[in-house]
Amino acid sequence: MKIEFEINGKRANVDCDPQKSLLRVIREDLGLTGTKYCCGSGECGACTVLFDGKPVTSCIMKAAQVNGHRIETIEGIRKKEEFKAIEKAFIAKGALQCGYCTPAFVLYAYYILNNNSKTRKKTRDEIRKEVSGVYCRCGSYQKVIDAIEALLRGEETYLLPEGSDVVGKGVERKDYREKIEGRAIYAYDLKPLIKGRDVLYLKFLRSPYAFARIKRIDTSRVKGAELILTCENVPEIYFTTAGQSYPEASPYDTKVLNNPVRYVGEPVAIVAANSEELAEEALKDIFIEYEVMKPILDPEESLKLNDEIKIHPEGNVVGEIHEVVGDPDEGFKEADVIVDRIYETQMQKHIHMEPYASFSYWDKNTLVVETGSQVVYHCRRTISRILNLPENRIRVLSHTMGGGFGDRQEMTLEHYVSLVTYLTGKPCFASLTREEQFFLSRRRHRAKIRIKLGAKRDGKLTAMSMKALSDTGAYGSHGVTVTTNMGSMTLPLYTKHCKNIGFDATIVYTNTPIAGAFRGYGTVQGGFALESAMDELAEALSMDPIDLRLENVIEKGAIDPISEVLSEGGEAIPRKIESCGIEEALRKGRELFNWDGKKKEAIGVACGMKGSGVAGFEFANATARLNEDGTVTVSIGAADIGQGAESAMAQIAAQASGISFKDIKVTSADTERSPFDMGTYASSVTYVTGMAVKRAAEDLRKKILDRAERAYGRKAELKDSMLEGKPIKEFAMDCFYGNDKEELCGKGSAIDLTSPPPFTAHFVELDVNKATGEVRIKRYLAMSDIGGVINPLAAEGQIQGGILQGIGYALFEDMLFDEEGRLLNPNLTNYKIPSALDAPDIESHFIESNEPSGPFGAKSCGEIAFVPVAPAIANAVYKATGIRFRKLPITRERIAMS
Amino acid sequence: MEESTIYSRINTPYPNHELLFYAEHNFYMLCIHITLMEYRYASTIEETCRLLERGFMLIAGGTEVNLKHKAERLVDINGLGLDYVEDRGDRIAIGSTARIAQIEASELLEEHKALKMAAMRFTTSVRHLATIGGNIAESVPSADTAPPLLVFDAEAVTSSLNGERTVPVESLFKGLRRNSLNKGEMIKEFLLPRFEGRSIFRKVGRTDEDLAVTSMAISISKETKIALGSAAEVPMRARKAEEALAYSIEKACGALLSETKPVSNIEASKDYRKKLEVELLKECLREVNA
Repeated sequence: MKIEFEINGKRANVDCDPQKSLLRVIREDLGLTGTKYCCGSGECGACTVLFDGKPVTSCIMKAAQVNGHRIETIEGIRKKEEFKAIEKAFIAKGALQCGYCTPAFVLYAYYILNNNSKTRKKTRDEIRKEVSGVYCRCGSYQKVIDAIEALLRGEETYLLPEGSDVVGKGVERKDYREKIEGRAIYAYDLKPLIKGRDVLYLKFLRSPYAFARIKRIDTSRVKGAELILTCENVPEIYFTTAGQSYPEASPYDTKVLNNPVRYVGEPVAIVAANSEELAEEALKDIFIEYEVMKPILDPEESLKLNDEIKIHPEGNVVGEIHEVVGDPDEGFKEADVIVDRIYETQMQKHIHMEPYASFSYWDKNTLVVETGSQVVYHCRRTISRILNLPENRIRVLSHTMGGGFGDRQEMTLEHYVSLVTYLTGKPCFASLTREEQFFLSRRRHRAKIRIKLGAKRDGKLTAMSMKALSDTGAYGSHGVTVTTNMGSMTLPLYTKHCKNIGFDATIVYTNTPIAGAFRGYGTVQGGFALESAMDELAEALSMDPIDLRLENVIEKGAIDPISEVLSEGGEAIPRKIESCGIEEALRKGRELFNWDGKKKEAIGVACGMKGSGVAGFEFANATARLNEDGTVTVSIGAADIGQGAESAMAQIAAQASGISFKDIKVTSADTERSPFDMGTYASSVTYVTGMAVKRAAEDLRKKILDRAERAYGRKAELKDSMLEGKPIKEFAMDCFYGNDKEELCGKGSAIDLTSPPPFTAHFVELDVNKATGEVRIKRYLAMSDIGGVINPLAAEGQIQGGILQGIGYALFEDMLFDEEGRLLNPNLTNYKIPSALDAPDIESHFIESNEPSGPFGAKSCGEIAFVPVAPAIANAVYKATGIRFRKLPITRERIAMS
Repeated sequence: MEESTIYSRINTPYPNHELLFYAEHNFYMLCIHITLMEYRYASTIEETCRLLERGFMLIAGGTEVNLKHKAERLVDINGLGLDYVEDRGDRIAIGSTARIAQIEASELLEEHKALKMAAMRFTTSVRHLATIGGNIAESVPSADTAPPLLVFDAEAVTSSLNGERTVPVESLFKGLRRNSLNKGEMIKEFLLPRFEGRSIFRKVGRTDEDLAVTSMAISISKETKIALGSAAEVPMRARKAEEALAYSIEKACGALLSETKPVSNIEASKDYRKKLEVELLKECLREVNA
């Protein structure tokens, strides 16, 4: 049908299917990609547009509804006068991370600004309510509200520094403007942009059964498909989708398509056709005869039935860990008090706002995969193996990513699209709907952890033991390493006195969606058990939980005893703690929070640690090249997943080289153009890649100064892009066009030797309605030792975001299955994530310990904030209700019904 | 692996229908599956009713229709001018396509606090789209505007080719997603009697931004009226509880439990909902009397 409406002040005439959604018309017919797809059910607000001036969700509107009306998208709003102030405020307050939801927030800001009563300013809570129609998984709510509040107050937003002295200062992140303006191109935005090319689109036929052998596949009735992949015609190559260093610590237990299928929703067949509609139609004509087997949904059952029902030919156990330090038995004998408890954690989905999308094509005999990946080099290595194509003929690159949180430390669609392009020679695009995302991407490992702590009367720990049963789902991606971290990245925290530690773990398959990497990577599960048990121990000892922790926390100069016996694969490397702010975090937090004055309130505390990269594995490289005009291009192989890595690298490069921050550009994550990097995971970028960048920048600085000395006959000074008081451009031109020609390029490499741990202590005060189970967070204080802080604005965003995901994990996020193993909540209607209404304002402080091995003293920041959230909340819920919740999530229903 | 097969069954040659079960949740792709043939814009109520007679389905905000119904023919009623909140002397009239955000902002509804509170707690992302007419006509238990309309004795004016009739809102709810409108009939507006007294709306979801696991509205003027959402197949007045309130709150709680019929589903268990009903009753009475 023909629809006519006004879009951004212009007439639009669209002839479209009457059932087409407004979002699809805006994106696909009009090519305006600033309006995003995320949930498709009107929950998340990423697709917000202004409809006759009012914010609405375009994904659940039919395009026909706007016939004769006025629509405005970010592409129109960014031209308005008011937008400048909005943009300034968003930049100054650091109100975004991945930016996928940012255009929607900007539209809300614009709407609020234009509907603001002159007589009465909106309160912070009213703003919070107004913007609660947009979800942000990075957790930027607080900063968005800060920005809108500043706008309404007419607050003069300050200018951010852009010279070379920028480390430790909030800067305007390099990606802010294009994200706020809706110009950033995410992999998901490629679909409208490749329209008109001869592209094949993929759709997946998914298994309705949790465990079934495929007996027969009949594709004879399929019409309109270019290629149908099934388990019968994919390469006979086993690999792991996990993006890890080589050899991967995950089993090679999957092919491109598998038989039997091992969870409901596992792809059984893939159709490539000339449109998504045709591919979807074709799926209906594929007939599969299944022999359905009894699924194993419970990890304990998986272990018990290991001899009867084998999910994989080798059995159900993916791996086992048995490590002992000292003599735990002896340690427990010495103890006056022993706490022995079992804790359980659930599955959690990443719900990065941008669902997965990948696009592949041939370019000059090179197979190019454009995607959104945290690990482009690992993707290239595995694709090379599957296709038997040399690595120099594969190029994997990442676009701007709408959040990752570990889900993109995997091959999710990259191997499917590249296989189709390889086989057909045609470009191939695949994208997931929110619902498909629940089945084709990863989740957090579910775990059952038994923990035993022994202590003397005075609180000194004498022994610790942890036994974990971890559920990796249908395939073993990250199973062993995540589970290793449950103990190795939590227990060292309390080893000041305790030298007797046992850590055992078993990782099993179940017929549930595949687990993988997720912010915290095991420390979240282990931390919940350990930090809850510490509180139970404190109670048994009649000690204050902070005093008990202070008595036992590890100190600077100590050797982490577990690092001497256990690593994430490979040889164990003893780790000396060179920087440690945990004691200070606890002491300062206690004071700021007025902990001792609130003893009767529902308060909770928990600590956490993590690593910075993976010791012995992480390897990063960087180059810094001086251009003709004196600007510098820094190349790294790690990816910016929304956390602001590129900008942090630019800050480090500026500080180390003397070139101004504004003159530095960072390119990242492109296997053909970036130097090798393991990727963005394990909180490694600032620490490891940052060190490589620092070295590259120092190398460049040295080359510049050496040449300058030769030219001027004296030592030169370089600061804020000024060389000897003159803009460096003249000097740079001379490098290329003078008599003594040379291209100045600095190089740097870094390896991670010890993975220095960041530390944190969180304090929370709750208001618990015991009758209804509602939990309100009255106050949340996070004290973080992330080493030297490179960009406090971005680091604070990371802390807030980690905490917000932790709140969802603690209180309501859960994947629910029926007895056949079917996921019951593959949508944002029933898989709830925290909205602005559920987000408290978080007070965040940094303890600036100086890590000697890190760039400008930095450690890591990305994951640490997630770790103590659930136990801190559980500890506070206990104080409020007297009920100890040892299983997550602590839902309203569970509180009310206990 | 053969030994591990505990049981097996050979399936029908069409096992893929389950795929559609999942697809239902997702409109972005769903639009491929359903076939909307016709989309019309009505400019009069009469025209609308004629189309309804022919099997058209109404669309205003579309938040329910587009997500939950596989409509083949839709008639858009946004051109009927029914998006008003008006003073009619002894009544306030709310047009059926009035948006939730309008209700939230309307100064005319200051007296009917429970209704404004309900609008305030409505899912924010769709409050400029969703209409009060759609919220009621959809006849879902969690409809936020329903309990307040019930405690204010609101009436609905319906239109059809046979003319208009005025019915209590309560009589519209027939069953889950089934209303008592006749074929060819639509809700034109709601009439709220002027109200002098106190009222309150309260809802509990899984999060603060969720649909109601249980919701409640109470109005107190000469008499006390209680209505609940998500406590039965459709929104309901709790008349037994209202009567028992004359004796004691405890009795009212007991009476309330005898008349609600909440369900267990993915959102919450029946028992939790029962508990919430009692707790919300106590809390609302406490708050509204404070």
